[in-house]
Amino acid sequence: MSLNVLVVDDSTVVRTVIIKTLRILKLPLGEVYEAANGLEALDTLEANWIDLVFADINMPVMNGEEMIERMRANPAWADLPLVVVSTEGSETRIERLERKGARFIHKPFAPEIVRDVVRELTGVTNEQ
Amino acid sequence: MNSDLDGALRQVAEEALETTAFMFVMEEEPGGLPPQAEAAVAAVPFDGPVCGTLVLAAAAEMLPELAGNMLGLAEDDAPPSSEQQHDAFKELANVICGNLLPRMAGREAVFDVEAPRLVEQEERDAVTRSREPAAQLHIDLDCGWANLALYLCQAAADDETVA
Repeated sequence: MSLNVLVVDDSTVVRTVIIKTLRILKLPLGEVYEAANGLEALDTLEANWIDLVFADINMPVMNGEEMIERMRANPAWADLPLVVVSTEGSETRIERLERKGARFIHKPFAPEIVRDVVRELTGVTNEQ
Repeated sequence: MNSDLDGALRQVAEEALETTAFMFVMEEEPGGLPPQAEAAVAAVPFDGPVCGTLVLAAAAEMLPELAGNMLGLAEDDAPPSSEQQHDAFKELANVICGNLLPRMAGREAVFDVEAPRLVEQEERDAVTRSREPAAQLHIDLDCGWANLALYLCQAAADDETVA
């Protein structure tokens, strides 16, 4: 099984780092899509089949929390595996995100953390 | 200034540089050369139980190294573009600010952190004018230097604490 992944962050460098991390981990990637904010991400979700979303919180136009709320309100994306990758340090806000079905990875992160979270969410492991 | 806050800023900055960009802080050399002219300044405003702005300034030669390391570029890859350099620099400021705030106010505190942005001298002056930083830090790297300063809103500055 290959994963179609959407990476949402207003920083091109962060998007590149996340995608590079997924490739270093030799995860079986299908199509990889990028979006610079929540609104672009929702458009990408409308137009493509996505298996896994990585998203930042603080973004212009539409932030990650609003994007997640809209995703969860749509039956098509209500259970879509979602990982928030952020510097957020507030346990209060992290718990709020987790209640919406998001997993959280704190920046800076080690690749192994990403591997473990992807495995837990999707059951997919490294290509051997 | 608050020495606990200075220490927290140093620890967070060193961890961010090492983990995101494999850049290591050099030991301070008393009486060393003064910093070169600044090349870039990024500001990260935040609001919550404490409000303020984190300001990161860095030497020109640090930016391509930072971006190249964050992106994992090899020597024979094309050098990072100016946009990538600025993006990496803003991300470093974002990581430092995001990791500093829980140490200042505790892990339950909720902050609204604005997107980091590059600022010109005029805007930087507006942030720093008539305010002493609550914490500041100069760090030397093998590819340049960086200065960090944390400015708090007045009410918070009167009650500096590290959780």
